Amino acid sequence: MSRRPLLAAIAAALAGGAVCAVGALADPQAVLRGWLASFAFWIGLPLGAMMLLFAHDLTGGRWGVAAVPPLRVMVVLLPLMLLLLVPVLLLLPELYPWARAAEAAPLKNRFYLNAPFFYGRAALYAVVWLGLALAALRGSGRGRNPLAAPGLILLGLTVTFASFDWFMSIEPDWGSSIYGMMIVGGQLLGALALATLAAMLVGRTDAGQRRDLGSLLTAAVLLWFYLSFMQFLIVWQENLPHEITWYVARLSGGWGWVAALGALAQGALPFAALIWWPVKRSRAGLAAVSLLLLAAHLMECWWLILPGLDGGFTWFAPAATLAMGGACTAVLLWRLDAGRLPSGRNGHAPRTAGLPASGVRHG
Amino acid sequence: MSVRRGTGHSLRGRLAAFDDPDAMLEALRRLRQEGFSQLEVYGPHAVEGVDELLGRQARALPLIVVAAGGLGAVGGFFLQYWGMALSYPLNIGGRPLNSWPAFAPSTFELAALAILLVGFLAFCRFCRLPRLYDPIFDAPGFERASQDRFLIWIAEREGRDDRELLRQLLPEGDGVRIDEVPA
Repeated sequence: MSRRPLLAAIAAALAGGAVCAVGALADPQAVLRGWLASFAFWIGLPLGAMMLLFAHDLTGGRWGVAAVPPLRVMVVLLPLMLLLLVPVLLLLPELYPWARAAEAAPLKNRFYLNAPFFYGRAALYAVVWLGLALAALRGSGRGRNPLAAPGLILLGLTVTFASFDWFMSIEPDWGSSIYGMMIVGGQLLGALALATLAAMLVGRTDAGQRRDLGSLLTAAVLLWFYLSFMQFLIVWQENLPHEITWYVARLSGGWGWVAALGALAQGALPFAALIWWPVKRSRAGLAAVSLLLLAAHLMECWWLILPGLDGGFTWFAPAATLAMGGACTAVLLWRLDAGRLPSGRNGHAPRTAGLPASGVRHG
Repeated sequence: MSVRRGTGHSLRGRLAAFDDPDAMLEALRRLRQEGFSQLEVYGPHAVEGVDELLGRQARALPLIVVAAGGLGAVGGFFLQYWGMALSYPLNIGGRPLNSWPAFAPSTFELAALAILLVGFLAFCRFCRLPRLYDPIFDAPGFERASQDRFLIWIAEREGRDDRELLRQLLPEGDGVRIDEVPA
């Protein structure tokens, strides 16, 4: 395997990381808000992948033959993703108003939003997720995984609360009970889109698998759109001052165009493309739709986080996205490389060196 | 009796019954290779690949359904817009007269209703329903097509005796049974 992709990924990670590091000296808040917005996108991939793996363990389906190997690779990235949250955890007051003494005083929910409890919950999520990631990598794909059903329930609860903690609490006086499931819907969509893209680019897929993946993508688009629109509809209908402010910040100025573009690019457009069967059956069509969905989902994550923080959009968001994406890709390529060596030496011996490699074997 | 387009069931033919959809598909493939073109398949459920082998074109049904959905959505939205903004403007809680987010659920429901009604009627039309009788119903064992058998009807080709050829193509026994179907 050529070293060039690995080097490019490392270069992207270093370039993005360097921009963020230099920026942090001048304006740490701007870097951190870009960092959190990008983190919201990248953490969704392993979490969504775990949910899809457990769902496949429970229900089966031929789409798994194509999608399970890339999903397993995404789960492997979970520890790295969790490490990427550390800068945010170290500098809570920069992002979260409830962590600043003066602004926290009038808040009624300080029993929940306070630094020690926040750290404790973050540690709990990390432990639960790492345990479930092990269960997903060990047990899934073999038809029997006793942890699949409890794992899905645990993930539903922990991801909901993690999204409340890390993303929703940047505006501590705002709350929405749909928010957690909306985030989960976006994560499922992102993970499924990336898995489909990977399956189309590297794997051999037959027409039945492509049709199943296309149908699942349609379902994921509908779920995400339904949850996002319902939250908007309820808040818009009630029009209460302490609720509508969330949407005022996200629909005024340029962010309004971002929202409209997101509804098109993550909702209407992929839906219209996927119900047209020539797109759904072709590799290029599915790959293009997946790429569009990933880009739109990244934009949605920025849209969810950045307008809620002082300063709004920052160029550190793309830089942080590049850094995190480069780091993930680099780790991935490195693991794939490591997994390839033993099989290259002794012919068809079972590849045991890396989990991604053992996943690739299925494809 | 005149020949009806499509089914051609007023023709004489043979009916081959299979216990297994895969065996039926395999036989259908062999029949197509031998040049049989007037074929029809009956079974308790749709079998993937049959449409391609029979040379059935994708019908207009998907387009009709999409058009019905579009019309239903436009009509549903206009119904509410006309009621709330044009015909009887009413200020509700200071919201704009054209409160499109609130119209969205009913717009969707009416689009779904239009799709369902138009789709169902168009589907019946394409299936030649409601048609209560077809000569093929008289074939012995035909009722099994709605239970557990997969049937291929093979039209008799004019001026040719295919009995021997069919016996080779569709060996009886092994879950295969061949019946003559009178016109």
